[in-house]
Amino acid sequence: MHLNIVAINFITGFSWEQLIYAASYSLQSPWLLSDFSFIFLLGFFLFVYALISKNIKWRNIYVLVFSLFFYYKSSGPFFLVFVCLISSDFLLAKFMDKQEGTKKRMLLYLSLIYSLSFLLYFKYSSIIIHNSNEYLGTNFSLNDWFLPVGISFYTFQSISYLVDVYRREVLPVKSITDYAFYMSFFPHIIAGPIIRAKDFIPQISSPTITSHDTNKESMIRIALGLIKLLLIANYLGAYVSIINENPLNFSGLEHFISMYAFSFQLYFELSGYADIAIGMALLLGFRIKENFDRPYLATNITAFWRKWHISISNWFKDYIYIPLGGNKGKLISNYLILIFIMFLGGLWHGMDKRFIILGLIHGVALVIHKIWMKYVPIQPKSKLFSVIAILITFHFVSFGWFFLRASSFDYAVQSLTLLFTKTNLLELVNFSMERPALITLLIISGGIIFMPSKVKKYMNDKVLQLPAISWVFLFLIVLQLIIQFKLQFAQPFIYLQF
Amino acid sequence: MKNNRSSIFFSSLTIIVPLLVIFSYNQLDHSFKIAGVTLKKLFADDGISTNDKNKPKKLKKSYLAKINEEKNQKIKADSLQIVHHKDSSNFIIDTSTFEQFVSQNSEERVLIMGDSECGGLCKQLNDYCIQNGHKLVVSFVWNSATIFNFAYADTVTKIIKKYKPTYIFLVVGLNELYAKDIAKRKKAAMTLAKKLEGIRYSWIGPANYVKDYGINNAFFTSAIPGTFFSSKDLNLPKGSDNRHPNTEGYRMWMDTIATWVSTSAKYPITMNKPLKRKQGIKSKIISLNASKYRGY
Repeated sequence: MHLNIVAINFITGFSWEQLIYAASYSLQSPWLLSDFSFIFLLGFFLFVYALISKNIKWRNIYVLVFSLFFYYKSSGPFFLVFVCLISSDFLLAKFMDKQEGTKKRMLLYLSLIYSLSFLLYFKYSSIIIHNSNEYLGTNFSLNDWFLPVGISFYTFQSISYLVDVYRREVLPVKSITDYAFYMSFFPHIIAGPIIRAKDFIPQISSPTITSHDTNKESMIRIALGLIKLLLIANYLGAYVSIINENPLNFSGLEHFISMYAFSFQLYFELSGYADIAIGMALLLGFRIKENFDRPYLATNITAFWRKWHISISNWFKDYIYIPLGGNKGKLISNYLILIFIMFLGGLWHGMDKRFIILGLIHGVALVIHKIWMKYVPIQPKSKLFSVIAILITFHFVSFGWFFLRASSFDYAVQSLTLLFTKTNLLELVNFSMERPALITLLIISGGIIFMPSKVKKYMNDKVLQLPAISWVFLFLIVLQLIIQFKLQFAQPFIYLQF
Repeated sequence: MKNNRSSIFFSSLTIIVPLLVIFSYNQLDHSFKIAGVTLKKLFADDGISTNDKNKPKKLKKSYLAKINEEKNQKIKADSLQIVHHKDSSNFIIDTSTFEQFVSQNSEERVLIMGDSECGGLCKQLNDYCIQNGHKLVVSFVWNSATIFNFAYADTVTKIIKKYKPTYIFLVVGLNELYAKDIAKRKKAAMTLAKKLEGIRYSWIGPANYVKDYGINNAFFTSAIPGTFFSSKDLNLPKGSDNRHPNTEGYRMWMDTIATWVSTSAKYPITMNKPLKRKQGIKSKIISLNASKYRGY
């Protein structure tokens, strides 16, 4: 929390000692886009940005330095790993582009192994050492490394760039500044969305394009993202973590409610962070693609994965699914590839049985849906059918999330067992009286998630029509609301360690 | 569309002005109310204060020595009444080298460790440390952790080695109340106590917000007499999650612990009530989450 001294300094008087202290990395409070001290600094950053935004070269250097500082504040010493990866990617891509045939392919493999090695080391070394000590009797010392923040996202981005250069879908970036800008652009570095070189790199050399309309849109996205992340997800997360700690001590109904709470928490957290990222990028005049497209309104599991964390789903599709054969070839091999992809997705979350089971469940569900579509090609178009299909898909996904949220596989099974065998809906009245705030928030969350597009658009338009000066008050209200309802123990960002 | 510089300036102000208002409000001594609801301050619960000029002066050593002497007399009297329990051998470790009375070395290097409740207590403990000339060297908050995490991970040993505390507070988490595998937990507590390598310590029992299946009694009867502070009879105000005390609750809790530590604990240290609260922790807070890092 000492980072907020940056802001307090502004009020109470300047001190170099405190400023250096505030500018240094803190393990207990790494920077996220949603930190008030970061947002405060962003305000000043924007002020200077406005002054230099017409000079593309200086604008890029300025954003790059700010992005690297942001990453340092988020990851501390792991900043060096990131810089190392950027430099090597840049050189390898340039070199690879000049080669042909086998040499080029070998260079691609080498660069992919190199990029992945950081992720594999930090993510899986502890569990491998632990298993080796337990089952092989070795005595290797376990490292206490935290996973460098955002390592999955920038590794995936690095791989996409290298493969795209290999495939000649993009030309290698000429300047290392531009490549570092693309990789480190602060709005997306911590938790995505993963941005593709072909979508983003042309924007780096283009003039800044902003207007009052885009800036209003940005502010809406940022404010909405903060509400989703810090207000709704945090509150719901507090309840979920209570249940998670000791599932056996709670009733079936409490597990049932916690299922909705976690589904909403996960969506609000991820989409909230994406909203902030997209909003902040837009403030600077950069466009990042949407990462969520109302996923809980999907009518089947295939549609769900087209709408959920779109940039990661697309990454798995483009860089693993299609190279492995995709939907070409024999039907059975297509299905196996699909299950394998989801298995990898599970493994990416961690080398734990519960993640692998989660991946496999989704893989099998995707295959079942494909078979269903093959034999029942004409789907009913009625609204009732859509509603039922949405409810089935949503509940299937929510049951699966038990394996993501539980701290162990056994806990996930215990929670699901209690939910299916001990739920008594009559207890809901007493529960509502005991936890009215939670029930109210769940209803509001459900309302936001399942809100018809027309209503959403109407409300968005109304807010956009507000006069410019009212934005200051609106933002103040949003921030005060967050402070008003914040809990003493903020829930950790779920995907920060993925 | 072209670059509209004024729109970026305006966005900059839209961000800076509300935050300046919020940070300024945080510095005010009083709070505002709207429709009877008090507007909270950003750092109200975080114990953050950057205003060093109000920091209370440390008590003079001669004064502390006088207090210590008074405490020693009282503890000598109290120690005659300590009841030793039959199975207290469970996690007793060699105490022959420990100072039995209030430490004459008033400047203790204090470590507090525990689950999320430790995260609230450490701020209050910090105020006590500043007041009494101790140094809170590190707070180790392992959210959602149980005694198994602390006992079987090598994290505690590493922290002790690095920060060299002379006094340790072990906060037994709320999760332990649910425990029905009492024997296993006693064993884990014994393992943890052995890891402390002769450093004086006190166990702090969990707040009584959920049904206790026997862990308080297990600690009370098994720990070295005078090393376990039971919180089960305290009525601490709850926080909004109904699982942790609120700021006032933590303050009351720490006040009670402090009285016990300085007067009745087996390994007492000076713990006079702080003249100023919420001084802000400058030392390290190591924060882990057991759901992400089990440690063993």
